[in-house]
Amino acid sequence: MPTIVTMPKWGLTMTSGTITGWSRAEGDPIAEGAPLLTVETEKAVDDVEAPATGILRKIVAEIGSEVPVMGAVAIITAPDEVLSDDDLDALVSSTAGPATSVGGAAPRAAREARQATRDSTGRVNASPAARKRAGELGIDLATIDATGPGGRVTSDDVERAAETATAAAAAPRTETVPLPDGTNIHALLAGPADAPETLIFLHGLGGSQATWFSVLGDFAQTFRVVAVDLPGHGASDKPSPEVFDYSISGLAAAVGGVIEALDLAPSVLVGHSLGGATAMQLSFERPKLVRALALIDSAGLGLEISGELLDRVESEPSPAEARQLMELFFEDRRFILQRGVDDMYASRNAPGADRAVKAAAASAFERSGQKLIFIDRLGELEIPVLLMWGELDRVIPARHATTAAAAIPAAWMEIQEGIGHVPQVEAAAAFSRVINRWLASFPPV
Amino acid sequence: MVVETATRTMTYQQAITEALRIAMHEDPTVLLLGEDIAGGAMVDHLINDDAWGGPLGVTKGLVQEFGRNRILDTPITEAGFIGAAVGAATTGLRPVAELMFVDFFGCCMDQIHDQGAKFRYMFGGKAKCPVTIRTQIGAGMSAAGQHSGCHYSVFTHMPGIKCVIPSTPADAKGLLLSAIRDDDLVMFFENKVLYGTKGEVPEGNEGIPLGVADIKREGADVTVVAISRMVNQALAAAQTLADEGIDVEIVDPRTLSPLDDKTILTSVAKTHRLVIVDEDNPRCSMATDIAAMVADRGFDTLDAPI
Repeated sequence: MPTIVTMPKWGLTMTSGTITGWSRAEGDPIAEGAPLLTVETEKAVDDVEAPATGILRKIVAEIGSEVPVMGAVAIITAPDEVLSDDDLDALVSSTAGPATSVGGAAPRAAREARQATRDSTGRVNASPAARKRAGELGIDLATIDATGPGGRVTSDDVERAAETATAAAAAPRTETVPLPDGTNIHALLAGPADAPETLIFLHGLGGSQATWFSVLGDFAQTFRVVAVDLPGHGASDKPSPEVFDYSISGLAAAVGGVIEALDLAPSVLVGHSLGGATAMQLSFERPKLVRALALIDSAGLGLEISGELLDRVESEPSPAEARQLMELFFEDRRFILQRGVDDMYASRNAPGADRAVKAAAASAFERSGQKLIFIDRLGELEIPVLLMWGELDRVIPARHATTAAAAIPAAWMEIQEGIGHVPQVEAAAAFSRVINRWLASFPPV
Repeated sequence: MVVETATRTMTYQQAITEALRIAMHEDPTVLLLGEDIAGGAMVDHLINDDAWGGPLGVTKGLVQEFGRNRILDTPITEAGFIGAAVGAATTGLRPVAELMFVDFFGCCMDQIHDQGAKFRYMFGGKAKCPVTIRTQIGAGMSAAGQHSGCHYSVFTHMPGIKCVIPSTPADAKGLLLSAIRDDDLVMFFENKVLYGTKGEVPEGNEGIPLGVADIKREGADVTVVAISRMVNQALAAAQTLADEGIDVEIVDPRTLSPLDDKTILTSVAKTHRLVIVDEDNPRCSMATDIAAMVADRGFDTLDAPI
């Protein structure tokens, strides 16, 4: 059977991607999992892996073309499979719209939805089945558009309204959370509110919630996800270091405030770099808020910290400095996009951002190494802990994962081969896989 | 479990004849009686000639095989031979009487509903009445006002009567075998328009249990309960509606008493819509009875009026 390769959806907001390269030509054999093409989006560039083994029979979208998410880009067939051009065209057009025809019946034109009719007492015109289902789902019949004859709400209308409501609740939205001291914290929320688990994502020094762009969409299918901009970062307030405590302890207190304000406890904290140290600090100070920890190339687990990182942070922001920082973070240079460099420079230049980042860096790190190391306290952690590291991380070395894993009772360690400091961007698919496997390894709340 | 059985194509009429033949071979107490079911009764030059075999030839050929002692031509007197059949059943025989057209039930209703239907109950289960009454129903053959009625709903009103109503050759054979083997009075309604319709009929002597409906077409959008010939009309309508995107499920009850209400309710719970197609007179009919049953026990599953 032929396999249609489609444009993937990376992240919550991706609607299309531009093809920047093909690593195979038409007629070439290809193995499942091998890189097939490169796709660039607004925020990322990455390989798309072949979904099946066979022959790359047809390239549908050439280099430079922009293809909507789920649109066909290529067709892979078995080596001995014969398909006419018409067959291939039919396959491509089959991805253009949603599947139709259920149970052998031709597609039926949907009846136009309209406001449900009511009788003189205001009772909504609804079928018995609709009334029962709406009661079960706790939906007000008056809010449902009717497709039944004469403006009658049917059970299908109720199901449709429930799906729309669920989708709306799960759609990504931003929230500004005021902390008791008046600092406003910005967070991106997505995923179903009744999800079995809440994942809170904490970025590293000088970053923002945008670092999780490539992976949030995956998790939001199943979990409630909250990506926080730490104080002094992203779109959160950036109060002066004279009035705000940018230490790891201060950042942890802010995250605790967000968890309380949004009623998210107990949550799984996913912390990257300085965000990892922040997550650990919070789980020691307020254990009831945290039920598991995922530490990604995390600070706080050993002495070493890149001197070059400190150089960059201490210097005046400039586009050149921003580019050098990106080069320090990523092993795969394809991830160093001009847009990314511009974004990083712009965020360092935001009012109050530079002094906040410098204050946070000075509080956590010095030339002789990291100031706050939790290694002696790790034995106290009774919650599940994931240690994930890019093998070639030049900011914080991967051997910190090994020492920490030995000290933590319930540790799960994953080293991403050939990857630098930011696996959530450089190895997004593997990142999601590992987190999902780890989450499945302990019982839900 | 589905058992693969060899089948042959035959008509509804041939399937009924085959069921009668199997029943008579397997049980010597089975006998047939009715008007003109062999030849002309008491007419010398027609004796043993098998001149009629019933008005439409359903019993043709049986008299040569089983003889005049088991294939009894009767006078035109429904009260007499239906009464004889009911009486014979209580004495240990297993008669199959033919009421030529159901429209004639008025002549023999006492024998059916006040005698045969009540024996088992009145005698605390000590008596039984294993009689089957085959009868023709249905309009469409220009058979005029006194030979075209359906009236099966009348019999479903009476307790103690089983009402069986096949729509296909295979159902006709299997249900008639079960009807004859049943120890109660069974009314077996054959639609005269269906006699010539063909279908695959299994070999062998397997009966189809009474009281089990059959889903003649699976669908998602609307349930159509169709009875007897209306099953074919409904299947044709479903084909037309499929082109318009409406996916129809057709439930054939096959037995009206006892009625397989579970299959009907399950189907409506899936489709949320019910249409009943019934050839019988509309007031106090099977259609109104099924509608009332679903409105009562399936109310919360409905998305539209029945």
